[in-house]
Amino acid sequence: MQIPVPVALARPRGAHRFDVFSPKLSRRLTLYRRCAFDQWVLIETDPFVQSFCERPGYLQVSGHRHLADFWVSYADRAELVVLPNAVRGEDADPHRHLASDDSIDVRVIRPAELAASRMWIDNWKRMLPTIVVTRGLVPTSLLNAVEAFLAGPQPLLAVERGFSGGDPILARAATFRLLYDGHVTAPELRTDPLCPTTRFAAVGRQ
Amino acid sequence: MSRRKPELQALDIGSWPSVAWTDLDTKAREVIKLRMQAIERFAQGEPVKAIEESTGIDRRQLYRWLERGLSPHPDGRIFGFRGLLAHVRVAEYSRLSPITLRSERGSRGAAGAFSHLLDRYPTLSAWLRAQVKRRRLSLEQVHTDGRLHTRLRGLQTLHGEFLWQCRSIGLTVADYPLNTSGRGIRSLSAHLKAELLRSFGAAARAAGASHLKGTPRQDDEAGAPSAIRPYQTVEFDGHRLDIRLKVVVRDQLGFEHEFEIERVWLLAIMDVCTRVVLGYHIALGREYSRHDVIKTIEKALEPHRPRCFTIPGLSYGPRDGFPSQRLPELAYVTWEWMRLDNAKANLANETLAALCEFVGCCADAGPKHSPDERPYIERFFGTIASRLSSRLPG
Repeated sequence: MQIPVPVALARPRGAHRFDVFSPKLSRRLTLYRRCAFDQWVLIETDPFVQSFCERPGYLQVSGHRHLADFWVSYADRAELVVLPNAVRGEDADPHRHLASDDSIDVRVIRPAELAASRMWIDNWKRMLPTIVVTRGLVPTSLLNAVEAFLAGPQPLLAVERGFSGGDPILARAATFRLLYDGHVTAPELRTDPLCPTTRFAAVGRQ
Repeated sequence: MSRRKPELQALDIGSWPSVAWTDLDTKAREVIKLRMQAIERFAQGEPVKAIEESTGIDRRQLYRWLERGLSPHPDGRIFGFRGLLAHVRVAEYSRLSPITLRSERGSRGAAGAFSHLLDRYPTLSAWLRAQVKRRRLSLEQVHTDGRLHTRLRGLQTLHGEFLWQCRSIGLTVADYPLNTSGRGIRSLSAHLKAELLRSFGAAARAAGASHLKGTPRQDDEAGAPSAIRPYQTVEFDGHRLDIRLKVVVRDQLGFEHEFEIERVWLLAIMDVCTRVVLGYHIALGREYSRHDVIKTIEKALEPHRPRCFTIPGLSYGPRDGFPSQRLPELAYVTWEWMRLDNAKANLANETLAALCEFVGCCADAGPKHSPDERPYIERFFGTIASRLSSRLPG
């Protein structure tokens, strides 16, 4: 499957510009809407997402051209994500229409969906910088050791104490990385803010 | 278990918009104070019977005020305590019955006819909004004493065009507004005035303002995330210090050469939650570059080294210093979110790489020409200018 290239969009008037680094794509992304940033956090931290692209192209919906916000690729399918108040593209480049592939799903995100994931997004906004900063610094042996340590649910504090022989930041980063890769779960992060007592557990070993 | 309705069980009176009751006359002031007191006691969980007995307010009246207080206000908030004021309407009159005009004298039975017309024909309403947006009208304030009195300029022309629009959608002389003597000009004027005064920006533009800035943005995007933890959100900006500095160099022969420095830039990174300056950098030059921005980021991350002052008597006080100087564990702590402006040096590839890939934060460049998006650092620079740089001689 061909991975789309982001549409070069002129910054809308009065819009913020958010620049972030995506560990999944190993490149920087530029977003112009806060809801797009929130949706990016959800896509970036979904372990089932293999690849994605922001602003992949235009969609023809009820006679108007709308800019799709994300193209997301999973193991068995791909989908387009459209956020509320999508950018209209009446005078956009006609060659940037997405290929008329009938098999692709279009998912329209409602503001309530993003609002429901607010705590999860806020927690990942704290954890993602740790993953970005320590990429390439966490050895596989440490990841395996932390995963084995989390055989039963353990608070973050216990992980940091258990691996206090090395850099505590790396132990923390290894825990977040395992969560990012889907090897560890922490259901509390969907309802409560991240804190030293947040419990993490290896998948299938809870 | 509380038997109150769910919306009345967790009543957050603190978020209710208040009333400037001190401006009211003595009698009205006593009335509103009693009503506010009853609501506050209800919110504190006091039994309704006890409130009734001590204040003499009927429970039906109390529930009516609560309902009025919780109803939405056109400003986007709830009415709050404003709903307790006498003669305040919390709901617009919406006419349901068809319009049949009676005799020429007295009441003609056309109350709510204009809003009924606009509800029935949304194209008319959209056309009127478009005229307001195109500045077809201007608003003049008649005088400033007492309540606001305004006059519309350009109403006659617009009224003529409005009637033409009415005819074009199929209204005849037997229909409102063409069947009244004034052809609905007074209702049109009241509607346009309300439309113009709906927001500060629209009213200022209608009064002739051409350079509006600083008004709150009316976009649907959620507001900036609040900073509730240290190092969650930081703000960065560069400020040109309004001072003249001279560098004196003595050559081998003992002659002094003086060079005047054109510009002194102070670049700083400030934590929003604690209002602490994490690091700063002084750039000498006409403009600061991306290297200066990266240097500031570096200085904010590194442990601060105390400076040796050459001016006699100048030293750090017992409570002065930088976070990483006082608490060594705060060295190399990274932040999550950085607000900055759209200077070229800030959005340069190297700067964004340092911020997003090295620090790992999100770089949030606010809308152009909107310093209000970074209030804390701008206030800090304002203080620096008024307390330091503008007071220096030279």
